[in-house]
Amino acid sequence: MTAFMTPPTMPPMPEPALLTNPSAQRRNPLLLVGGVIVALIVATALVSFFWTPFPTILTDTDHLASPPGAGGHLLGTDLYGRDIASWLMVGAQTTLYVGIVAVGIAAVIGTPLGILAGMVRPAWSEFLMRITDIWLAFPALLMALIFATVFGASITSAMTAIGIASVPSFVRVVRSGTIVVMNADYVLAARVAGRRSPAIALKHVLPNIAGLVIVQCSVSYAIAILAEAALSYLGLAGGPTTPSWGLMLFQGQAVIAGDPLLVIWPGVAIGLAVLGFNLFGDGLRDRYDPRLSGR
Amino acid sequence: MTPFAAPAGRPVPLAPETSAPAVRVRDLSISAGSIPLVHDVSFDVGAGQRVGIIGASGSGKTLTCMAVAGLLPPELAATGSVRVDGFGPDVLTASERELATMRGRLTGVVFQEPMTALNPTMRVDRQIMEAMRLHGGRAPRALDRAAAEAILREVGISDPRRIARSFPHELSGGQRQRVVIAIALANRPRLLICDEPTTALDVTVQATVLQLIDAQTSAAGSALLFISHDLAVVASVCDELLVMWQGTIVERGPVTTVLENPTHPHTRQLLADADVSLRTESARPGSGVP
Amino acid sequence: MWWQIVRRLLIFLVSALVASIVVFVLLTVVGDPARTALGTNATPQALAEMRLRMGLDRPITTQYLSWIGGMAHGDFGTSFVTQLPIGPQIGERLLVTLWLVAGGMVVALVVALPLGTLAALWHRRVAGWILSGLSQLGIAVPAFLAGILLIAAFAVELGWLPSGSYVVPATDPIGFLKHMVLPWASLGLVQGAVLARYVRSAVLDEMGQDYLRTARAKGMTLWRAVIRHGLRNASIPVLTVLGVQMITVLIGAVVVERVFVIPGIGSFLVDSVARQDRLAVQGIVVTIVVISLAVSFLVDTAYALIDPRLRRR
Ligand SMILES: Nc1ncnc2c1ncn2[C@@H]1O[C@H](COP(=O)(O)OP(=O)(O)OP(=O)(O)O)[C@@H](O)[C@H]1O
Ligand SMILES: [Mg+2]
Repeated sequence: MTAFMTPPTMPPMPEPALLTNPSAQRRNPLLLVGGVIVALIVATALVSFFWTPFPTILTDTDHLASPPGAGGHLLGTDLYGRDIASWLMVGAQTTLYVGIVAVGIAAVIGTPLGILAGMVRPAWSEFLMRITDIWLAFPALLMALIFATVFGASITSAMTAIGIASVPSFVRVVRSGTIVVMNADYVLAARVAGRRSPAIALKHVLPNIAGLVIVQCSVSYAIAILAEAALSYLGLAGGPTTPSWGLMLFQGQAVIAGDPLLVIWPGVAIGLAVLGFNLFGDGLRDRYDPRLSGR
Repeated sequence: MTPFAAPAGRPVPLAPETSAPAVRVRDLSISAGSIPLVHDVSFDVGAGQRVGIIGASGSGKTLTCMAVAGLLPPELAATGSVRVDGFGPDVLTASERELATMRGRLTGVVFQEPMTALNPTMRVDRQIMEAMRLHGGRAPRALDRAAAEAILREVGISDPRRIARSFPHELSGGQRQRVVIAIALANRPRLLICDEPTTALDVTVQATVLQLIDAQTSAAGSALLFISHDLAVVASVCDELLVMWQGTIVERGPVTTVLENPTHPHTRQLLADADVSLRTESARPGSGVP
Repeated sequence: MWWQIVRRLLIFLVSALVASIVVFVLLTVVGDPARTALGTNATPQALAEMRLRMGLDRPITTQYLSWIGGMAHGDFGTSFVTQLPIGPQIGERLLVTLWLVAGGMVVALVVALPLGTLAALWHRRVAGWILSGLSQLGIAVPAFLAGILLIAAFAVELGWLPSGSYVVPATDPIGFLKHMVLPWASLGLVQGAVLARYVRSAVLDEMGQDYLRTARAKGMTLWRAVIRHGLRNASIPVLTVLGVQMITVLIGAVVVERVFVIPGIGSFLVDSVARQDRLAVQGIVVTIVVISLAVSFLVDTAYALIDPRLRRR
């Protein structure tokens, strides 16, 4: 009878799926691929501060719109004889610079606002959400166009506008994270114990939502890159001699029939950068919040 | 493991056309990857017979029934054979298209959770009419609607016209379960599978839903495969009992025999647990249990 | 339900009003519009005259009210840069942009609905990976970049389609379609790839629901159950994404119109920004923002129509 109780073919019952953490078991390829791409772009930008194959202002009149390899130009030259590889490298600088400033602005304004929206009474929270709804109707590009009209088209006005336009997505993400934290048992206990809200925000909320903020930074960074590319394509970011991928696209499109490579290079650069930051963000999300991933 | 031989059950009011068992399960094993979940399960449910399955949580009751109903999730692999009377191929190997002709016509299922078993965005009458139309061909809409209301009346809904036009979220749990039963019985299947049909319901509603299942299967002449945790419930509804434990059937026989003379320790444990709960229930004032 | 819709409508109207104030403050109150119009080396006298013409001497509230009051009957004012009335231009060009956006959304839906549903129903893992990859690509390639690449391939290399410009549909329907194929594709394919991933995950969610099992227990095949029962419920989360995407496409059209030289509201906006035409920018931006808010309002209303659980109260 006792032998029958434990049939030899029966292994222990599997654990319920929810309790096993998927990210703990598998490596995170998104984070890896995204991280490698981001690291590559950052490295390129850093190197370009000290060294580029050719100066970006050099116009090599012997090699106008030449194919890759000609005259020592690795990726060829553009219509004015400028070295494409060098422009791509310095373009990475512009992209990263605009992204850092824009995301910095958004995170610095959006995070406290989001925590506030998650901690105040529901009526106020609702009011703040209505404001972010309106704010969301001004996406990065539109905001940048307004700023270009009022303050003139420049990189500064572009990245400020992109940053301000990215605030509401931070507010939303941080708010929902804050609400989750505020309802956790230990925070409820702290509130019952009479801890004041600023203390709770600093001690409990901020550390717990830091992961969300980092993920949002990565996502917003990708959006900032897209907006910057569009703006410089429209000629509304830096001047015509500031190397940027969007500007290269615009100048390349004029001669697209003769030399499609001139739009391919900057196109690939933009796509790769956005892809890198998005994958990185997705990977981070898997890591910080396994419940949200798995699709 | 000798296959379950059905002794004479209770008299069946509507004799089914064949005397073959409604379901014949042989050596059913189900596994998720390399993990076995159900192992070598064999049993019959005779025509019009009522078989209960009890067992601890996670013992494989639901999986066994889903295998019979042709509703196993695709990530699980099943071996053995499941034959449903009136359905040509083996349920385990039949294609989804073939299974669709069986489900709802030969088998009906009542699930545990009435709150989620109905489509939230579709009115009740359409969900019932759909069950009839899938197997009965198309009738004029008004006729179908009348039939749907008639079925609702049969399952004890006092205001069938209003309920028929309602969305699921507008019904109580008991009403929803009645609707699910109405859908399961819409085509008078040979086998009704009930997976803990009353567990999610209020105690006061449980008894009436049980009576309903009892009465309706009798009226339709359907066989019944009935899962429950609750021994008292099984005893009141079923003739035969299977006890499952860790994916196998550890005890079987007529309900009274198993309950009065349990041989397997696990069955004894279940009985002891139930005894405790029965006693606490009877300790409550006003409870009719002696 | 009606109260819900009225409430949403009120929220929309108030939001539109607030947005218009924000746009007005940014473009009329901040800085000096007269100097923007005349340039940096205008004489003080010319500036003063310009301020008078622009009505900048009036109280700010009066300026705002006269601007918004004019817009209420289609008068967006007259540009101080081009001396042309702004309203008629917005109307004419908005029509072009709406064609562009509508076509782009249709392409996105035609791509995403079947692709996402099939990916949910087919071999889950592989289809999931492929779709994730496609949608990552979709996010990484902005519509204007897709447009340039499509021009390179289909207009320049293959020569099948025109590389730009616009034909009025009423005069030449075939020419209109020919000219719109590439812009539609560049706006729609990218969004379609992104949308497909949401469709797949929404359908997968519904496939795990009990009611779908009930539908199969009735005698439906999995496919039929998903199509008859699942898609309607899956459309609820997809709708949110669709609303957001419509706004993305509208904004994306601003640049795409540049790429394909289409005289829509987007190229009007970019031209006006380049001309520092504040009043025109103000009118165009308000138009775009109000359309975005209206799309959100419509999406919210559509929920209530699809999901009976939201109809109460
Ligand atoms: N789709 C699945 N994939 C993997 N394992 C599963 C799956 N479905 C069920 N199982 C496992 O199979 C075992 C039996 O499950 P089953 O649902 O049949 O139990 P049960 O007897 O009905 O329990 P309960 O009384 O709690 O309903 C459980 O251990 C469960 O975790
Ligand atoms: Mg079960």
